[in-house]
Amino acid sequence: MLFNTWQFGLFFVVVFAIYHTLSVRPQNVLLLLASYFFYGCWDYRFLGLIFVSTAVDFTTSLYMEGAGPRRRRILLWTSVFTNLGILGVFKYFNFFVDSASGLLEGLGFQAHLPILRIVLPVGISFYTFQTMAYTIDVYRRKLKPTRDLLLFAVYVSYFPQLVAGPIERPQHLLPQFSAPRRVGTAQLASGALLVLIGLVRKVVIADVVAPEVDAAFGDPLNVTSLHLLRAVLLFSLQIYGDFAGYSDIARGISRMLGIELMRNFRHPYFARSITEFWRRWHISHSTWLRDYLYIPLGGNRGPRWFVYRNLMLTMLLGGLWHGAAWTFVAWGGLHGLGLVLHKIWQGRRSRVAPGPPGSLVTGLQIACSWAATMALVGIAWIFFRAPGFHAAWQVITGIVSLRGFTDTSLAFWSLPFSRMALVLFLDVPQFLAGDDAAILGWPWPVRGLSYAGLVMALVLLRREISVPFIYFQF
Amino acid sequence: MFRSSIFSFETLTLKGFRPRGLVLCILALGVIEFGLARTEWLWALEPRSESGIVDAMERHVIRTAERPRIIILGNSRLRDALAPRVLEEALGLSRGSVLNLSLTAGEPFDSMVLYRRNRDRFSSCRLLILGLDDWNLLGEPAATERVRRFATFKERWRWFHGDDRWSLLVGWIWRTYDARIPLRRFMKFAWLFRIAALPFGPDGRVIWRDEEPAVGPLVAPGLLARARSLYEGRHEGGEMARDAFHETISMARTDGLGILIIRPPLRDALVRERERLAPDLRVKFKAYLKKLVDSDHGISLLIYDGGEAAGLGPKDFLDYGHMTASGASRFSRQVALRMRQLQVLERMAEAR
Repeated sequence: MLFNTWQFGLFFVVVFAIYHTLSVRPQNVLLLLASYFFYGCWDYRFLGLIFVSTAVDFTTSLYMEGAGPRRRRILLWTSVFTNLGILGVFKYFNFFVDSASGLLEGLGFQAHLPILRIVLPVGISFYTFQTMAYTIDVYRRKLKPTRDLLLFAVYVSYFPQLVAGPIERPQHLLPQFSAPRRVGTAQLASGALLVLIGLVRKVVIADVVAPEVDAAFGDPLNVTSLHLLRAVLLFSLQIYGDFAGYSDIARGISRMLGIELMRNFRHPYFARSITEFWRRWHISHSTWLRDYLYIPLGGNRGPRWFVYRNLMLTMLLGGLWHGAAWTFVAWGGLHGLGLVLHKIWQGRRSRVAPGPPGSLVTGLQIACSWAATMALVGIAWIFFRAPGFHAAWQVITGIVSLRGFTDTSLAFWSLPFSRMALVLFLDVPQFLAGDDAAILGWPWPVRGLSYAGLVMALVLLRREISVPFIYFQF
Repeated sequence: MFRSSIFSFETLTLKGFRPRGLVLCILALGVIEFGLARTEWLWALEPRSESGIVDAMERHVIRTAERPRIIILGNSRLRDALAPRVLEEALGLSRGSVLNLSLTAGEPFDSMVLYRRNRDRFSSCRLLILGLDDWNLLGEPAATERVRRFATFKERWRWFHGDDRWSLLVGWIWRTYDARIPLRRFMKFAWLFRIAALPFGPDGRVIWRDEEPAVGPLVAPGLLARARSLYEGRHEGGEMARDAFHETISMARTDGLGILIIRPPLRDALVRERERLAPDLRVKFKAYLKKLVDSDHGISLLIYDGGEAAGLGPKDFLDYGHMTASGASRFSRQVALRMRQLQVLERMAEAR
């Protein structure tokens, strides 16, 4: 069930109606059943994986309490290996086999390694990371393990964020499931608004630009440089609309159930550096990598080359998390390189006095920083989107070759500019107010007409065919 | 507050609920819903559109006809194949006796709708010519603009499944959702530039294309692509088409009309491609029609395969199956001849 379908709308209305007649524990039972039903609609066979992940992590964490250091470590690795094992088999097995075959053939050996005909379970990367966060935090004694299996099961499978995040932390989510919830008019209104904004991002922006992106990336040799540049711009809008849209809908429906999910995006395309970009883009994922990979590797401690190594490793693995393909690793690597370069630049810049605030010089500095950041992000998106390195290279060389750079028709530019305008309409008020439900603070006539405008945009500016959320494949 | 170990109504509190913005939003959407989406005017805005053509046909053809005797309902192939003036001359009928109401992308559902909406105006008619192509009996139905405009709740439930059904049921309740395509047209101000009347040719056919297209050997890839789009991967289904077809026949028979089912000829190359892609389809189609005819002696058939069998050559076709003016003229005379042989006219006279 996609979030932007009528079936999900009916499902949520039913869950919402029943939910608000129940007390805390029955609410959790309902959430659990609804979550299993929701996931089962994708593929009921993979509910077993969620059961295994839930059972292993609940049990290992419970036994960690009171256990000695060695036993705790064994239990932790049991949990980590189980979760990574599930991920490895279902997501990465064929990737590693293909890569190994390629390497062996490159060395002159004939390799006939077995591959698995296996379907990737939806959301597997998300819920395995979420459960690992729990066991790692229990191990680190940042959290006492819960003895309530129901509570933990709901934490693992909570349907608004099960298949595409945000990747929640147990300290943030678990207490909310055990406490009584209160949903007032403010939460209801802001939750519904978030859902509306999320749907607009997904249906009006992401789904509409998707065919243009597919056409250009599918045949990069036969389109002009301007087409390719436009496709990269459109993909930037698509992936943001798709993923931020999903996160908004997830947060909105969860808010209406009295559960607050963490914010996953903070206007990433306003970032003026790559470091800032990663504080604004897929925040739940980047903070997870920081806390469970980058810091254990050493983080910012140690000599400079060590820090750069940690950054690169974290981003390379972060890229691999996104998909079983070397292009995703390359995407992560480019961002890692950007982070390293930014760190070097920050070190050098600290010796240079900044321009006075509000001056033209400062303005130019900000503009250049922003442009350089967006350029790197855009180049990296090419690798993220392209089906392989060869296609990515064709896109890059196609842009750089400047073959056909003169299309000035209104129709050609109306799509990217209209969708950019829509992104700005949604993001700028939120950015200025520091609140994702900023529209609620507008005068009521403007508010009312804005709601109606967003609803009509959903009706009139949509594509007729629904497109799955991009991040479902991760 | 009622409280038990299971139930509690304390989670949701609507204290201080002053939804002025929401109310204004609902009012604004209500204006669009009742001021636009539920009006016939919006759907009829552009005569060249899928839904607008129905109103254009009714306004310019049906309501201006004095005493129509023969009505023709079908798709664009029948629209192009049967020339009303030629049929009238060949059958010895007065001008305006034959109405060709066939629609672009017409499906049996559309024929049913046109007949249902104008049933009272067809009281002088004695013969209904219905077009049916074999591909109408294949594949799942599409939620077209005309379906969104005219299908009842029951029809939406019965014929559609999955996402389409959900979408259509929502559209039945919230007409704005169904009317999104005409609303887009409205917003693009297309209605300011709409055509005043239907473009009729001298032979009475509605002509949507240039009168003198480049006629010649059909470009093979285009024909093959068309054949694939019509037949490939579509093997079952057609329940909506069959039900709508039967409904039309049932209404016409109740009104005392004779029925003549025509499948105009296709370009021979497409017939060969169909045999390759869907070899059992010809047998299925003919079996289906035979069952129809056997069940009701008021139904006659004129089913053509390739153009050669109908004495038509490549120059009589614009493409895979739409006829030129000369092709329509020859085909119409042939149909008239066959109607005489089948004594369709005589049966009409007796009924009169």
